[in-house]
Amino acid sequence: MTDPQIKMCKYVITIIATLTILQGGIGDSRLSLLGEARGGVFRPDAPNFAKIYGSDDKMLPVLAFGIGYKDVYMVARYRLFEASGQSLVAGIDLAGTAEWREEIITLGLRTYEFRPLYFELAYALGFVEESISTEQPEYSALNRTFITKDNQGLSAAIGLTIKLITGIYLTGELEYIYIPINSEIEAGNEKVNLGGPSFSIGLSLVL
Amino acid sequence: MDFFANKLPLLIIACLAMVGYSCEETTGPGEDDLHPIALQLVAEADTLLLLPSQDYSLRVQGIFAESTENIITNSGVLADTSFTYITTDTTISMINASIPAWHSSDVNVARVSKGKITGVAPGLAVIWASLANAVSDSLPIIVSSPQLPPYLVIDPPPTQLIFQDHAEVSGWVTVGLNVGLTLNGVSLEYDEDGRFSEGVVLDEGSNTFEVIATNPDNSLTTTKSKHYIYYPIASAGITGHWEGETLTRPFDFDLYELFGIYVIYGTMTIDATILGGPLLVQDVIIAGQIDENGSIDATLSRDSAGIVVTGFLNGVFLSTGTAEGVFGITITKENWPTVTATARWTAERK
Repeated sequence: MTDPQIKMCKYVITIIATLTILQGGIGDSRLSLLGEARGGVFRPDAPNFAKIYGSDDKMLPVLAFGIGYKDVYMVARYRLFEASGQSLVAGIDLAGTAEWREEIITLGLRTYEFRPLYFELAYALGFVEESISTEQPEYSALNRTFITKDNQGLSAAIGLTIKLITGIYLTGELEYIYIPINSEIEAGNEKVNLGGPSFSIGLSLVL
Repeated sequence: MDFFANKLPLLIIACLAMVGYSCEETTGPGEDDLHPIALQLVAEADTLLLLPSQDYSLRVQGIFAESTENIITNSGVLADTSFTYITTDTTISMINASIPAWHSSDVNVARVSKGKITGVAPGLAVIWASLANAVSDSLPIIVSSPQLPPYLVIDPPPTQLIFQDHAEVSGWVTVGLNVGLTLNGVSLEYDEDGRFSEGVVLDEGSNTFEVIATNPDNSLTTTKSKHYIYYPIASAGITGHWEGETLTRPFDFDLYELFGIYVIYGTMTIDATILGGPLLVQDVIIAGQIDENGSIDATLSRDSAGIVVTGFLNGVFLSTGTAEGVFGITITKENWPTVTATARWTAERK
């Protein structure tokens, strides 16, 4: 390691040590702040999603902030999910392209009362933009961008916390998000769920 | 009386033929639901010559269009779009002549009913048929008599630049009146349809050929002329840069000599409509040569980005500074419907 890297490591260790001394933890009888960074896999429930975007699991980064007292926290989370695939072109021999961008914000209550397990129930707000096109620019009539926002739903999560040091926790979580919308394809009676199941691992910092 | 005596066997044959036609006629797709997009009259000549009280039965065929709706869709998880284009196949079938409505531009000259034309009095009339929104082409009817001058047409163009010392004067004259025909005072033969074509020798410079048709009964004449401008191609003054016009776009080409051959080379831009949208094909190559008879014989070609353009560009020189003609193109690309079109062009040497 070079000197600057060694210095940086020292600073980080010092900051973590300081925070550790200053921090409390989950269950403390005082107002606490929660910061969380998670990474996981996500598979939207929407029909044909795997057919268009592939069946492999896609990464779902999650950032969360919360405020709580003792074992109950109000937690806001932001998720960004992006995927690329091939749209389904029929009637002509052309390859289609598809781009998916989804943002989900949740605001909910999390309880650590049953530590090491925690439970969270949240109100969910979803935004999705899907763009489809073909490889040939002259077929611009087959290009389409579908945007839907302010879609409301619910999310439920169960997680496992492992305390690393005071105020810092390693967590694993299973979550299911349900945000029903009307798509262009399934317009009418059928609802499409923008959400779906996810599994993620993260680090939580409680101040 | 001699005329009728001569023509009686023909009239009998014609009547028998008409009976035969009526037996053969079909009514095309969906007799009860005829929706032709166009009608075509079927006659033995471009212009019919009749005598008063003489009949002629026309046949008519319909051009029927069968359209197919093709839908292309593109679907994502949430997004969905589609595009519909229509391809049309045409079929041509005879229509029973009693079905369309028949029209005459002048019923005092010729009447028409259920396809049967009857000459009334000397003069010129035009006959056409219609069915729903479909209208046929028009057929000129000349009801002749010894009191009228003959009808004479010279094949266009009336004036043409040519690079060889010989050419042909052609056209047609109405038959049935034993018309006398002369070309610059020399008797000229024509066939049973009235067509004539005569080779002529050209002097360098301007050559005018006068065709005179004479009605022997009353000496009434019709005179038409054809004008050839002959120069050896090297001195005809056609080389250089030319600028042309089509219906939608200007284009240009160069004419130059290459190893004794006169070459035309240039580019053209073509507007087309593909799948309901505009398509601009630029830099279509014009390449060909000038024949000694004064005709421009060139091909059109381009192959880029999978779009293949082929076609022709033909024409003639009207003088040392102008030319005109016709071009036709075919545009193809994989998965596209094939587009074909023809149009006229004119050009001027700069």
